[in-house]
Amino acid sequence: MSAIIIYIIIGIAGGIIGGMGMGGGTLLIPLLTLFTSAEQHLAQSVNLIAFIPMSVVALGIHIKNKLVDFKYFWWISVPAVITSAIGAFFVKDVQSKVLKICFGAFLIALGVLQLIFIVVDIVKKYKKIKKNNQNDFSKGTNYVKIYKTIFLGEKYMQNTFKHGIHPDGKKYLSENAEIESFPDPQFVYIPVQQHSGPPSEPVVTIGEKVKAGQLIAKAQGRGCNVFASIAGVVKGIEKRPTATGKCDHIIIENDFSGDRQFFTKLVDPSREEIIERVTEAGIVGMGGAGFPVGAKLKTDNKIKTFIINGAECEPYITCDYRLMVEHPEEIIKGSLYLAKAVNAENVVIAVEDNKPKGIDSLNGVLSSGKYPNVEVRALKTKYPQGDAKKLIYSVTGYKISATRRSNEFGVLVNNIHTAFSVYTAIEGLPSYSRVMTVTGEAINNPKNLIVPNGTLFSDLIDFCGGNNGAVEIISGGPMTGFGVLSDKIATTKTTGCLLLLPRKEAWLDKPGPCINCGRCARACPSLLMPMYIDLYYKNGNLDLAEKYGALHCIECGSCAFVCPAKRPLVASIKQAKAKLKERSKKK
Amino acid sequence: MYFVIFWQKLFAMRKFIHKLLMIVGGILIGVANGFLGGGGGMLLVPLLERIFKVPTKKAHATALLIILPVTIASAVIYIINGYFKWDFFLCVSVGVIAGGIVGALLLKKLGSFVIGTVFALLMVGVGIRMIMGK
Repeated sequence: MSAIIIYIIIGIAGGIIGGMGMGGGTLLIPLLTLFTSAEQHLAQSVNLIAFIPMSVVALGIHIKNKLVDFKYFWWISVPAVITSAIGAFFVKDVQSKVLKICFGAFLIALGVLQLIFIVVDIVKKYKKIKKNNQNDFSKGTNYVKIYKTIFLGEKYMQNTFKHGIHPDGKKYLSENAEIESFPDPQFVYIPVQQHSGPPSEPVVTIGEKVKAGQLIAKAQGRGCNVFASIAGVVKGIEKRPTATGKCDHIIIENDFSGDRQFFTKLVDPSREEIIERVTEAGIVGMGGAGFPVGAKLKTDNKIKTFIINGAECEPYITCDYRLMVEHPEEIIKGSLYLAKAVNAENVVIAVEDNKPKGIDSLNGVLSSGKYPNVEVRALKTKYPQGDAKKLIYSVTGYKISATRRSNEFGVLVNNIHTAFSVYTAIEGLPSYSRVMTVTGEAINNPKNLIVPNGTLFSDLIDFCGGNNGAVEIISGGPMTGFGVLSDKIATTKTTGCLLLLPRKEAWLDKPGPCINCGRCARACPSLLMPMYIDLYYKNGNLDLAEKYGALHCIECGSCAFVCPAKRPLVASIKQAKAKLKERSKKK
Repeated sequence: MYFVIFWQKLFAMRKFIHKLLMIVGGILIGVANGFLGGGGGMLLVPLLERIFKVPTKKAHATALLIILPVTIASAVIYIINGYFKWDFFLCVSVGVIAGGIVGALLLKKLGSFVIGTVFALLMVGVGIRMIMGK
């Protein structure tokens, strides 16, 4: 009985080593001969036979996954089968002791070979990491990082960042809805400020006839051009509310002529031509921040890596995902234009691993080998992966402090939709429409739409089957979006999502008192302590709120999401930030 | 100069050399598997990975395919020669299958360099013990 247990234990030990892909059989044999009374011949026989059922199962899985290369089969297998038969035939004439010594020698040889391979690999990896980190601004070589990467595996601290949260993705609502064109509405209300920067100056007069794609407001300073999104007549210029404030809107009534105006198509554009076209076409960061891309590309720093942000970490939103699935080639070409504009060496398209179809689609284009400098990186799904600095940390490992810019580190980040828009701009299309997700449990048919700028939310809601008991309408995602009071608000270049939430999903609970649990500090990806900022801001002590880093908040909403007392932490930090900015202006 | 020509010739013959390497590798693997009852995979995976530049995962899968007929051939001859015991065989293979699953799951958790180094040192140690005898 005890022999059986020993056999099983030894079998498990061999199996574990074999399962790790180390050739468990080679250790199963000595284990059997050293710890049991089994004879060398018998141990070898057991190893051979036990190998067969395991490998048949494993092979079946591998063939299904198309991992097996049949090219090498005949040339290696045939001589191997012949010699193994001969070897097995003669083995019975060899004494057990002699066989044991042969086997021992073989093991030593294998072990030494393995050690040589490991040393070679470590040297190779060390060189590679050192080469990759030449532009790292940290002083000297980062030996700790090299050590960790080599000994704890490639995955160590890679493709993710510290803290953050895991909200329910809810992408299933619209992820299978193909991108449709939204029919041009009767009226569009185009805001002159759709970006971060000074508002643009209208260049059309009331009553003027405009074509789609015609310039209607010119950029002022570091701003962006605004284009008519439909053909029609300018009906007026008036101040209207936007999702975040108030600004002038140019109202155009559709004449249904469908006239369009394009730029000339650029063929193989130079660096300057790309920057000029991007600025001219009024492209802004489509992720939500709305920073003009032309201004971003005019950097003097040497850029090494261009990261295309396809994380789309916010729940509900699927417009970037649909773009990845339907237009991978355009995205890759657009990102190469962006990379060319700043002379970047390589492009990393970073996608969260909850979008396997998107990753496959991009990889499908890359597998043609036409774009050697482009890499698709699957990141661990976590919110807020899509924040520029978190993304840079996930992809490159650079920690960038709140007061510094990423281009100082040779990295630039742009959204995947921006890359797509750059491609279309080079092809001649000004930036006046974008792909948007209209979703939420309170809309009847969630859709992904190409929407002209200035379309009213109410038109979109009607097109998607109507409002089904929404208590909250949000422009943007549920975490960073802005709740709007009416549905008569116009879309802009940065509105990626229109979200209608029913009572069940909306957050209308009254906040309780802070219980000092510290969950918000554990969730904060910027490593702040939101409870203190909230506390001091509510107490009117702005100095302490600043000391606790209110200005470094990225407004991701992780703290409010995890708060058990349902305190609106982001809201109060946002107010504190606004107050602090106002105060620094006065000084 | 002669050296350069030599390399050029070698380069032109690389298909032939690859085939030769495959056959030589096959013979070595066969001897290991038939005579020593295992270790063919330990030779074959680095051969595929380092000389034929097959990616790691593919190399492991392909190695399984190649080793399987070799193992069946030698196992049959071992059984014909009478090296087979039912109870012994059953116990060990139950253990091997259970351990294999655990091992495959563990692999994801641990860095491969640490395991590789420990394993290599273990093999050298066990090898020395076997040569010395009990």
